[in-house]
Amino acid sequence: MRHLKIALTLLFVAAFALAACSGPAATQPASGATEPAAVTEAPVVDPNAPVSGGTIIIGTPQEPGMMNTLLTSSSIEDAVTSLFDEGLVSVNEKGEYVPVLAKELPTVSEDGLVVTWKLKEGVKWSDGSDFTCDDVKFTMDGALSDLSQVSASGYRDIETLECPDPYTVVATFGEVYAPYLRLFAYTIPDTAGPLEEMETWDINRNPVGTGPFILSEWVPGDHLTFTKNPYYREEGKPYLDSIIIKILPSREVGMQLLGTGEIDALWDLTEADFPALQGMAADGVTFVSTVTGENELLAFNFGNNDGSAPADPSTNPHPILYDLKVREAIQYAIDKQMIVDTLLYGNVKAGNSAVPVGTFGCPQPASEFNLGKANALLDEAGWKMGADGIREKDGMRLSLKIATTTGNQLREQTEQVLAEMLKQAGIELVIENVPSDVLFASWESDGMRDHGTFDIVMYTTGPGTDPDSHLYSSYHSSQIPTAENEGTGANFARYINADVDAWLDEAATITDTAQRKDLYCKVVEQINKDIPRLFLYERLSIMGHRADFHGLKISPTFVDFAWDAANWWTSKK
Amino acid sequence: MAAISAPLPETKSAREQSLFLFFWLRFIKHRMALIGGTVTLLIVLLVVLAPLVSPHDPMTQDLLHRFQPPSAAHWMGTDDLGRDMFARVLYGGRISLSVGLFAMTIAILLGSTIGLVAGYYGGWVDSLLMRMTETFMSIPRLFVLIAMGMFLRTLDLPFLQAGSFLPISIVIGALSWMGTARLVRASTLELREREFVLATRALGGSDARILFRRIFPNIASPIIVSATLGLAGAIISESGLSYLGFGVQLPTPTWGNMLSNTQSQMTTAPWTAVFPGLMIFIIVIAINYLGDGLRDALDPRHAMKK
Repeated sequence: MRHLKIALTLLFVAAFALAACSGPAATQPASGATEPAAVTEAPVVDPNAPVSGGTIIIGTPQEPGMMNTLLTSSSIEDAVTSLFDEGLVSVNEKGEYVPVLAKELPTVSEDGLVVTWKLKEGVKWSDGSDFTCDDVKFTMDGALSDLSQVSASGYRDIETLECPDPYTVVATFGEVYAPYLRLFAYTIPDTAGPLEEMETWDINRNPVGTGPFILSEWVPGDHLTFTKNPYYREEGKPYLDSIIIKILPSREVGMQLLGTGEIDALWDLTEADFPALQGMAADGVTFVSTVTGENELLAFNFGNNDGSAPADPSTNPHPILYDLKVREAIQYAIDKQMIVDTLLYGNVKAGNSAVPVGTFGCPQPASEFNLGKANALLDEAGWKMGADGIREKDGMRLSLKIATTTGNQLREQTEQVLAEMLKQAGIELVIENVPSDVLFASWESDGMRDHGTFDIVMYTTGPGTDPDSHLYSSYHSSQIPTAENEGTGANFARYINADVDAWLDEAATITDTAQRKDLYCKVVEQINKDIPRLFLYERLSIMGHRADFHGLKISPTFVDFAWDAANWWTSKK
Repeated sequence: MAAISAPLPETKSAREQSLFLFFWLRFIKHRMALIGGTVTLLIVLLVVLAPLVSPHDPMTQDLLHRFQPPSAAHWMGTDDLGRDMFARVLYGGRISLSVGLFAMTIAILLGSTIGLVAGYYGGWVDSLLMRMTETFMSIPRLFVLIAMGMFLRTLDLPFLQAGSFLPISIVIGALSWMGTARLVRASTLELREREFVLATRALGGSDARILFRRIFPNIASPIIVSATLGLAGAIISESGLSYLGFGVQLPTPTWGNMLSNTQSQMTTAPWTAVFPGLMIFIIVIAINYLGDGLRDALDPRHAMKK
């Protein structure tokens, strides 16, 4: 016992000494950390001339478990399967649709009911068989099967899928399916096996694909090795001989290995990792990042937070937030750019639009930071400054609770900064965070968001490549979770606007991209006027990588880094 | 020895005065305990007098001066929002020490009462209370913590709201009395058969008198030791509970919540983790030494062995 105490005392002395010397030695990332998000590749010999050969090791803290895209469920599986699996159409790093196995983007008939894809000819599966329209048909049957884990949305609406010749696919819809471009983002060979045996297919662990690589070794818990697909259609590609997906115990370990060059890239970092990434620039580490279209946002509750979950908030309104003036004041009081410049090191954009990027992107002007206007609006709304610096009206304090997920440092920092900013306008913001499974729980499990037992919740969401379903479920009045509809929908703010409803209903029935975009933009503008949600900043998808690993481009909306793996190359010696 | 473990005469003052002096003299002979006590006292003083000691406000943010290393202006540097770490460590200590003290008091009161009653009455009372203790020990702690946390929150009592340290103290205290209860029961079982207890009973002393005047003073030393250990444990538990979302909520600082989430800053701004961690470390060690000294001073048998 006595020895233990002496040892502990020594330890404490040592810790103190350590703390004392760590001070001045540590470097400071806060100032001047405004490097743009785009990557500037280190020039090698000729940066534009890819060389063949070499191996790239990509680290991930998650392990993929399934190689059949009909059964995948995690984002690491979606990313890794892109090494061998291709769709008729994919999404590039700008969030735009590009043809892959199709010659061009599909054409649609006048009435919007018939969609035609022309397939590239001469494409072979990695087992040597031809890729034809039959495989596309099989993929659809697979997506519609009971065992499949993918969304049947869209495929369900196809009445007939015909193959007039092996390289033409004609789908006839029962009713107009506006986001038809997102169909067939993956393909399954028709030799996979009977649909009812999907869960035991050989391709689940030994995938067959049309993409640049094939899986050659899988050591569970350690790594997956992918090598060149000998049947890949493009001459001289892929450049790399092999890609190793290395399973890591944690993101922190990954950062260490990236610094020492034991891995060439690290998957799925967050905005909070920027200082560490920038600190490793001297070690030959850089990063790619792309906007995901997702926003970190505040959702305001229009309904009373007493758990009554009203279908129409005007029948039981939130005593503070139902008033538009209060929501406008909150927006005026928040200096989004300050948050972006400090907490996010200037690497992201302030959030201003529900659909910021992509084919349907509708960027909006930045909201104004104006404390004077915030205070004037609150005065107008009858909130008088109280003795403690918090406004009051009819004996009620202007005090709101904000909730987000616990254990997320960036979100906790943001909340505390918001509380400080709103205090300047006489609004008290009380932080009451809960674990994510409490915040995001379903209606049956008494989820806070669904039941509207909150004032303000902060979380991330976005429209994906096609905003159709996101905008509808987030802002259409039919999507307010109530007891009657058993919590359907994501309109947690309980926002009702007849115009928005009409525009969303109309957009769902047309296929013309320009017309749809026009309608979605009207929705986006109206949302910014009514402020059911306040967008703080745009979220990024970030990967750290070694500077000698070239061609890594993350595709937004899928968190998919491997979609362009055929063009990856390395200048590593 | 007999003079101490035997019942004290009812005549007061001089005898008790000298007894206290006797303990005190033995306590100050234990050097590490004296140091531990001094350090504890110093920290408590600093924390209580935080507004006078700290040159900065613990809540004032300065986003343009985040992650400043320790300097003359900011003795412990600044944190992720540019707040003064020294001020936050001092104010955070108020909550952390209060949580520790409250939780420990609850645990000791519960534990000693249950232990005393179970050990003294024996029979079915003992069986019932000890099975209850074992049940509490076997329930997964985390699960109960979450359930109790949610329950306390739904009560909607004004003094149990976020930012208050009371709910978290109650939760921790209500889940850490079992060890004390077993310890106290074991000592009571032994003591109730001793001559001085039998003598009191023969003289017609009531149960309450026997329990609190005869037995309790004699089991004070294990209670004090488990109290000091419990205090340290409660300070550490608080950090874990804040993570679960019903601890002390930000921006109110505690040593626990200052420490959580600093993992990613360990390489870039180590002082944000080191100082709160160091405070927990120092106070835990200091209190442990203090407890050691108190036990040595109060436990006559321990002194005999030396």
